[in-house]
Amino acid sequence: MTKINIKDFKPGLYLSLASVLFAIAAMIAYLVLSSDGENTPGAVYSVTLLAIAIQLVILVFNHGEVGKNKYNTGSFLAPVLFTASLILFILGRLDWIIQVQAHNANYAPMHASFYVAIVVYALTIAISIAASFMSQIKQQEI
Amino acid sequence: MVKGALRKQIWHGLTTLCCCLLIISLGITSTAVSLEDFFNQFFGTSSVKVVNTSDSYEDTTYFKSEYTSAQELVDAREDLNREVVAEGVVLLKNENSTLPLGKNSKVTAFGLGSVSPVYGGSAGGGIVLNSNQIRSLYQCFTDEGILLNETVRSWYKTTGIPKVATDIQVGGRGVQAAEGTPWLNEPNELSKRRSGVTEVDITEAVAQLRGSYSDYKDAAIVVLSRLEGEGSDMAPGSLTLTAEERAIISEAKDNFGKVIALINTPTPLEIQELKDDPKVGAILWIGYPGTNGLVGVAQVLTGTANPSGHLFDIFAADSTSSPAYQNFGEFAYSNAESAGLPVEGSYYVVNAEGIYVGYKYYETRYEDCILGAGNADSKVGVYASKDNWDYTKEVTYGFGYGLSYTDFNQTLDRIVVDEDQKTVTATVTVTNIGNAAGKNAVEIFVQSPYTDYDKQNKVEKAAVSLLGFGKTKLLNPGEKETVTISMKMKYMASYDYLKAKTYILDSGDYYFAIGNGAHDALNNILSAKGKTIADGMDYDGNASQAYKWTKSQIDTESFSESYANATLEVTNRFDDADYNYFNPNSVQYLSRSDWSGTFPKSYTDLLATEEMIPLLSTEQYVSNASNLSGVSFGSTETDYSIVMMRGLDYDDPLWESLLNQISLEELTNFITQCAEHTPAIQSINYQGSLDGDGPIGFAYARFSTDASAAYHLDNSASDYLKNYSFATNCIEPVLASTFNPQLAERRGDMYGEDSLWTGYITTWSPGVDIHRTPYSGRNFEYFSEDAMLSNIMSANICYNMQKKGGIAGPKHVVLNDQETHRHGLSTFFNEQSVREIQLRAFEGSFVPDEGGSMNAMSSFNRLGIVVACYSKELQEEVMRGEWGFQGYIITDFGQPGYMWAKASLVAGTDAFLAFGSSQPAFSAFGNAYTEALTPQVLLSDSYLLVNARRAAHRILYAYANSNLMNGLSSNSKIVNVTPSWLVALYAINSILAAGALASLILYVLLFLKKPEKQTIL
Repeated sequence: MTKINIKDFKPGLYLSLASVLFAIAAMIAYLVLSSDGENTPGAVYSVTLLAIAIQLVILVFNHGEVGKNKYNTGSFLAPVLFTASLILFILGRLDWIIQVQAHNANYAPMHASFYVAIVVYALTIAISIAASFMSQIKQQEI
Repeated sequence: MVKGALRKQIWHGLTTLCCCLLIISLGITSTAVSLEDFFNQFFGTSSVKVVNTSDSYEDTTYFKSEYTSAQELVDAREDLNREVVAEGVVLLKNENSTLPLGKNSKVTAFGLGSVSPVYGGSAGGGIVLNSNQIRSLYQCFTDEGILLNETVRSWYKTTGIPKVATDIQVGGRGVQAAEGTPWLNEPNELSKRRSGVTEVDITEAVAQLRGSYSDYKDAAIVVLSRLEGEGSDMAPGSLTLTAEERAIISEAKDNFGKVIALINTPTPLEIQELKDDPKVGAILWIGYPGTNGLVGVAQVLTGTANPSGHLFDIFAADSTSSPAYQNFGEFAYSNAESAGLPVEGSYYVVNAEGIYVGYKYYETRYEDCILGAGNADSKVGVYASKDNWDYTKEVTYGFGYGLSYTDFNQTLDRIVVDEDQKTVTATVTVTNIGNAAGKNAVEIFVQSPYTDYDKQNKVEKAAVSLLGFGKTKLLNPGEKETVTISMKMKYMASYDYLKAKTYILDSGDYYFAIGNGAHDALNNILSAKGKTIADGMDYDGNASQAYKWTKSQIDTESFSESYANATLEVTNRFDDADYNYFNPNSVQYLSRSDWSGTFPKSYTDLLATEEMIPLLSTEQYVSNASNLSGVSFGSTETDYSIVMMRGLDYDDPLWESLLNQISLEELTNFITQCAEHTPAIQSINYQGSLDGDGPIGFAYARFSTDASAAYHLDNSASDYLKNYSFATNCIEPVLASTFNPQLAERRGDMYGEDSLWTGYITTWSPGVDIHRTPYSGRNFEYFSEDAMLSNIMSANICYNMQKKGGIAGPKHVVLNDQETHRHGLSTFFNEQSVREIQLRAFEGSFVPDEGGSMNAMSSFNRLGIVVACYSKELQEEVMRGEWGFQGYIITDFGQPGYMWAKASLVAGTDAFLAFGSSQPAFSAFGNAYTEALTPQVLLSDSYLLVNARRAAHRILYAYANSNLMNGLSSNSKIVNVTPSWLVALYAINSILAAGALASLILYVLLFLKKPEKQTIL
């Protein structure tokens, strides 16, 4: 592995790391949400964890010579998997949302953790997409 | 930055972006396809189109509207609501000529409800507020000539309401908001929303407000409100006046000569202190008036309208004093956890009060106090009395009580009991002996004898029960009218569940009486029996207003056969709904033979027995090999359309041919996906229907904009009409309080018109469950605590709605009398009580020559431990067998965890109110009914198959005879169309997929390209 100086780190790397942190926060929010006993598919955790793992692997890969020269961005798969997690989350809750809407005056029973989880997942996706545009390690100029 | 690397990053990022957006888009598409009907409703599109294959003209408007324009309909329905409210508000107290106020009165209004009253209940069958349609209290009062104190009003708007209000959807399904200002408390906890913490403390503000009183001194109006809604019951103590409310009443009393209390609740409030307070001159119960009903209230206050309403429920001094309340709320089986019961099988309630629901308890106990019978005047069950039980202390206002601005004299001319026709006809002459024009309600009560036979066989008898009612026209002073009311004897029969095991009419003396409510009628009966104040009566009655009819022999035959099917016995069907069936001698039902000994205790520790546990936990479905001869699917031997079945008998052989055309997939989809609609069936040219809640009108409906529909809005219609909400009427207790069957007929007719103009066919309305206690969260959706008031009102609505081709779906059958743990609540009762109270309330709706409803919604709870949707005894034996119900039964909102599909289907459930799609290609999710009743499962089980087909038949029969057939002829074909929103989604998916692919290709090409001399940027 090429020795990398922290001064070589570019914003894309920080965005990738940020996406990992937000993903963890999203899972925590999802876990809090699940305490209401409603349908909260466990697959969401699995897919999110997989995405986190891939993001970190790519991050490490980019520190190598091959990664730095050939790839050097945030993972392509990670945001796709984060998005899939969010879709699974919402689909799993769709019945509940419909029932709340049909039977209740407002969305008051949809406690804050529901909204927080969605927002954090959305931010995770946005950050990881941004990371996929941006290089992580400063390349040698020829 | 290396140029080539930059380009690679961009394509990489774009590939990622496009893929993520594509996943989101596919998710939306999948969900949208599953909920296609909802999206169609939202966008005003359709997935099917009717095409006529012939040019020949036929009049296919089988059901016609009386209105030539949408605006005409809107005007008519709003006028009707105002009229209902004006007739339904109940004047409870009016001393010292407090009311009417007269026009141009200047008043000061107190209370949050004076600025932001509760217009309707929330959730499910609650009001759908469209801010354009709300006529605020201020607006209504001003228009009717009541000028409101602007200073006080402004304080509430700018200071008072914000102190307690929290955000709520305005314009959505909520319960506010005058002048756009919502109020609700602690919205994140449903139970606290019903807590009755409803008033803001005014004490700090009064100093600044008092300066304004002198200009608005004619009267003080205090609005006392309570919010109620589906999902939770009223919290304990929430029906007592709060300290804040007492403070505003005090302020009003201290500063105004006239104080008027408006009770803005769907349920009785504890207002004994207002009744006793000489400084509170008038009390008017106004219920929830709907979006424009406050005009009716204002008209009553000014005297433009003369109040003629009578109470729908008894107002007890202590709202927890009823025997029913002792077993209301949360009761868990003591071994629920150890037995591993599911949450929907862990809770129960015991209806230990028997038939003594509401006024029947208080009035019967009162009579027994007068008669010196049954330990009635003991200390047991005392709440508001000082010492022994005292009716005058326990009751504030009785059932059926109401005042007017004029006086009426009622004369009971004649009672004719026809034992051959099984009818009772009452003729009453009403004379207006006062000074103002007004209408008067005529209430006919009956007392059945409480005999030794009854005591021996535990047949309970209420001292007085409403049997029928009517209302005069508007009578001018001096004018009289003779009102004739026909009633059915079956509704005065008692149910003997121990000996005769059927309905009986005892031998002995029956009394029919009129009066201003149940208590007045009972006093008339007691006077006819020779009783007076000396015997303990609170006042002497009028014996001439009671009529005695003597039956010489007990009759156990006349009502022992079904009138729909003479070979079917009417006998016990719910023995196992009594907890004593599983655990003998555990529950004691209230008996007038011994009030003190049998006054219900709270059954807090019942055990789920070994026999009960599997029945509460697992589906009890047993197949039964069935004959499939003549049954096929997807047959092309015939090419019938559903419209050809219009007017045919249910048993007409053509139905079999039509049903054979339906494919198995279509059949499965049709009965399992009935949330707010019925799916289309192309093989029989059935285009599908739109359906919806609820008791105050179609909840989601808007005027149809389909140009091919017989009645629709044209393109030039105003935004107001385009957005017009139909779920805006006053609540059912207000309608009930009119005691005017003709108003119920007109409301039903209006629902039929709504159906014609919106394209919505079935409404799950009326709500007919019983106000078992004042605390049930859905009392606003149901008429009354009284079975016959509910029965007659509901039947009239159903019959008249269906004359216009709509389908009325009374709900919830049966015993949905509390919200707490309503899902799967074990509801234990004895058969007499359910027959005479809860089922009797529904009966008129379903009997073909009474209401004739073609739909019913079953309830979430259990009858005993059998969930309503798989109670064959309820659905097949009582509803269809005994009553002759000919429509279809739909579940309440799918709870497949315990509303088991197979058991329900074979027990008489025809449709499952659930979402999801059985189409595998794009199905994001199905529902458990679809999974339990797949085509393969049906094919493998002839019993299920036969019942699924029967279910489809019943549903189609109802719709074939509805206004859904308007516009269809034998030449009509249904073709699939892709709605525009779906086309847009497919286009977006395609673009994103293309974008992702293109980006990926370009990225890969760059990735594979050999590095070359780089240009430094």
